[in-house]
Amino acid sequence: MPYTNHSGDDVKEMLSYLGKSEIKDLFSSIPDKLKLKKKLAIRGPFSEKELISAVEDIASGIITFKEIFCGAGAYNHFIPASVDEITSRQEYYTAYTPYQPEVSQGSLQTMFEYQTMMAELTGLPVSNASMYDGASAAAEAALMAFRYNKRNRVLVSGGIHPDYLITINTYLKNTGITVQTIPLKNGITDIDALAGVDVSGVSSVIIQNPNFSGFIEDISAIKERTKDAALIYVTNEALSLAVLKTPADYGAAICCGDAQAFGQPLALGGPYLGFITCSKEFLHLLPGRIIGATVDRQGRQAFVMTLAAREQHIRRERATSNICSNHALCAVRAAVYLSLMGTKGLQSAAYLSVKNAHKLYDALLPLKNVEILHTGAAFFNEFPAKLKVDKKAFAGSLLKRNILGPLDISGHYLFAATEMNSDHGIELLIDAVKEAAE
Amino acid sequence: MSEKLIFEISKAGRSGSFVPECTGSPYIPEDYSRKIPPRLPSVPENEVVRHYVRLSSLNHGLDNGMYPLGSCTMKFNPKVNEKIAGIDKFLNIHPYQDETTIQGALRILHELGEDLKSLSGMDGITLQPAAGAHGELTGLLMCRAYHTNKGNPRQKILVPDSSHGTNPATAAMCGYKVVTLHSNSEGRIDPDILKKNMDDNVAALMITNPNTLGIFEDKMEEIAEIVHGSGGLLYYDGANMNAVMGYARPGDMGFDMVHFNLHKTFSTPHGTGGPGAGPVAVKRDIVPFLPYPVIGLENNRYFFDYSGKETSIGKMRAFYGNFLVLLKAYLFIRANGFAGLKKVSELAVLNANYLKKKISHNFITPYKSDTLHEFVLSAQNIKKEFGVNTLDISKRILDFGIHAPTIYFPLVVKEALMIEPTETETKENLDYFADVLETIVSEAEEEPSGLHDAPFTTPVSRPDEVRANRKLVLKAFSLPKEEDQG
Amino acid sequence: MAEYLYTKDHEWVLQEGNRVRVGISDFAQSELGDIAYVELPETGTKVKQNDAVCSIDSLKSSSEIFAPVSGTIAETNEKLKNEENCEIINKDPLGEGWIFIIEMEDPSELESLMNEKEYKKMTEEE
Repeated sequence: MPYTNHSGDDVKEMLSYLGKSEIKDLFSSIPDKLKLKKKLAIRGPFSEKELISAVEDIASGIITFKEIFCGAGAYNHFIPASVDEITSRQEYYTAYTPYQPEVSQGSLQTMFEYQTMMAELTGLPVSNASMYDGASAAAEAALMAFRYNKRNRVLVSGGIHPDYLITINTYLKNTGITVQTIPLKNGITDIDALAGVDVSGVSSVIIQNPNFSGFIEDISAIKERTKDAALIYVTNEALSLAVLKTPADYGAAICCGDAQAFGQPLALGGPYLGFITCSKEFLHLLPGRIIGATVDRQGRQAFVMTLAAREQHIRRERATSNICSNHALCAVRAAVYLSLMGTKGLQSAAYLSVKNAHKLYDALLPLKNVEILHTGAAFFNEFPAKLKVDKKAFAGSLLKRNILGPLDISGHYLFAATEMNSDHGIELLIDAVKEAAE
Repeated sequence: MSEKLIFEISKAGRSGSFVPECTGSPYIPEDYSRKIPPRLPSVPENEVVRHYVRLSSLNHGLDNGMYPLGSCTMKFNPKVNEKIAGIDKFLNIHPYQDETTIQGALRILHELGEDLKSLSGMDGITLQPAAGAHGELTGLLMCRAYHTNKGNPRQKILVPDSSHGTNPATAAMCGYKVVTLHSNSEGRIDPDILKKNMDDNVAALMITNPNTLGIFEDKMEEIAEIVHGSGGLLYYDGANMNAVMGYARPGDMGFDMVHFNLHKTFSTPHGTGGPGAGPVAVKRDIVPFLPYPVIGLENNRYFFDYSGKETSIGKMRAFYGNFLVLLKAYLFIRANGFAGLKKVSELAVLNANYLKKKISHNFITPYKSDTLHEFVLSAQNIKKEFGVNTLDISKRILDFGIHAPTIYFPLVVKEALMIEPTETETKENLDYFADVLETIVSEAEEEPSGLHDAPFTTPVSRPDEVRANRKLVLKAFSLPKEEDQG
Repeated sequence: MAEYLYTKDHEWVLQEGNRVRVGISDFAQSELGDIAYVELPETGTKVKQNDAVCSIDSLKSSSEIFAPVSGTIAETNEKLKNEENCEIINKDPLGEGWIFIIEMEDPSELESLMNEKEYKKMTEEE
């Protein structure tokens, strides 16, 4: 019983204070018929020493890679050591939602700074204090737009991450909102396909940028065709915000997505950092916590959770969302990460990612067993290509070079690069592609 | 003293060196390029670290002192779990790696799922949901899919008046109307009231057991009969699962689905508000609707099982779940084993009952029923007699190095104080908390006006919340664009 | 001079020809506490008596405002668009803190409302 603190005497004393002879007497309100009569086969207890060695055994077969060329919504970016140092402080990670602002100014101010940074990056004036992940944030964004203009059709670019699209559909299934996807042409959202679509009555248009294949979308053209609808700019590679035209520049009403790039480890897909920023008209429709600045009784700067009347604990069935706990510690990680990197560091990471992806592209282009798709289209740090390789041989070639290869999507591969990749890594990947040629 | 904003200590030209410098790219067309760089802080590493260390010192964390926040289960977060979750083999695995390279991680997820099924008496599980409320949404979407599959999605969800706000909010997101059931004088669901509200348009009854008052719904069998009799489902909000581990299982109580709050029952850190994890376990009839993929095991090989895709509700998020959080819950379960988990519930209940008896003479006990791991008192007597309300009391508690309990919830109790000490507090800590409340009550008698100004020793005093709501300041500086607009 | 009429949901109504001005009662504002946001309806919206028209948030609560009579939203109190001005509902709920004006469809619906004395009696019983 590792984490309970009573001595036998304590228990006896407390029970006698309560006039009970045994602990199980405290459970007398549970009818006997409902009581569990058996022991369950749950392994343990393990002492700390045993626990560590048991888990090390389990983990021993896990393979981590020196060079990662797989992205698709989860990117291997650099994380400064100070990010872990700060977020492993108990004052951050053991505290809960700042219900008592007087003893939570650390969390509150950090989240306020996070909101400011996300607003800066997206160009939009309002940010909440985090969501679960990019996919669920995109679904919530669609619900915001629906509540704003009460229209019940959503257009989603076919260039969105497939998990995001599935999540949007799952969330919207019972709301009376219909979801229609816009097809792609030459790798990006097909503007001409919009010509045939009746855009009046469309609540929102959801575009991912860079899209799932890494291509940079022509969002101005899309906005031009769908003027009346709320533009929802989604990104699953938040690092791109540092160097690409801002969502606000495109007239986005809402920007959302995943800021995993900002200091969150890959960790098999979670926890990551969902975010939402929006224009002022959407402020009262935002889901989740929002931190605001005010003063205390002595007039000193202080921060609190604000606009709580939007939320489930007050508005119940009329709430803007059911979200309660968010991904606050991931937002703390992002705030520390962005503070450390600064604009210069962040833009450097972004440009290096772009540079490495293009180096890889240039190296693949001349290979006989490689057909890069939609050549000439501008891409960020990912691009699709067809490979003529023996799949099994390719997997073996990659593994022996300690490389995580591109994502295999039926029919083609999606290559990604970040600032973490080296020239040598790119050479090794090229060798593997050559070696596995059919 | 307040800490400056990070933007205020920023000075152009200062920065750390984390990645090689790269100042532009010929590959991003001019039309697609950012025109004005974001105004991120320009601060050297040393000062960034100091800034956030100073900020952290303004927080009350669990390791600073007691944190008896009712319903949130603020128990000790084992440090070894943080250490293990920080190793390379867990941190640096990509969600799209081949299954053969992550067998150990999948094994952990699978074993966690099996243990949670076993603890709750259920047949299937999803680990995708990122939090309790996300689990509720997953559960009710499955509930709707289940009924739709039977020909009628039904229209209503029943919740007791003591329910958490996420219950009705979730029901609304699934297109359901919410009907609130009034609790009886014992603080329980009244089977007669339930009967009156039950019909074949009710999709489910959502309850916690023990409920938010800490009281066990002892008429559970009758409740289950009534709900199932009309074809409805029973949803178990697992927020209070930590009260009954090893003593009772939702599955045996008649529940069809249950979400767990791993950050509550299984001690994964609350992280100033998340990330948590909210797995949902279900009975056999609901299994076809689980989000995909689930974690499968065949011939000693763990895999992502997509076989349920056709009937599934879909996905609740990208990828598979909050892996690092799930891992910590797994470690907590292993460190305890079955006997330890049972002990967790026993001592949580012992601590709560001990504390309740120690302090309840100062307050009104709104319901006389026995309680388990938490309890709710009302300070209505103190408000009436001395004009000191629950907010004043909770603020004063902060001065003694203890976090305040949950206040003004559940809504059925006026001036509510909802207290959950958890199993990881010693008798001495409980005695200290009782003494603190004793002191505060005598202060209320002797000098009530002073308490309106509490707390006195915290980094800031009560913030002006009216101003925070009316003069909205939601970020450090306005964007130039906004200023242009006026 | 027209007198203030009240609904059971704590709205007040003041007849101005074929239109009625609507706000929340002094009792309602004191129960809600500091008002921080009013979600105003769009002018031109048709409403039926007892429909939820818009919502009003204080710091710790959110309530719906119902149409006291059927008709069309003719005007809304533009001042309330700015959160900073929401305090006028607390300071002067029956005057400057009005919320919207309805062009009535059926003035006979006014007969279903309470006068000040009846309303006062109701709030005392609550």
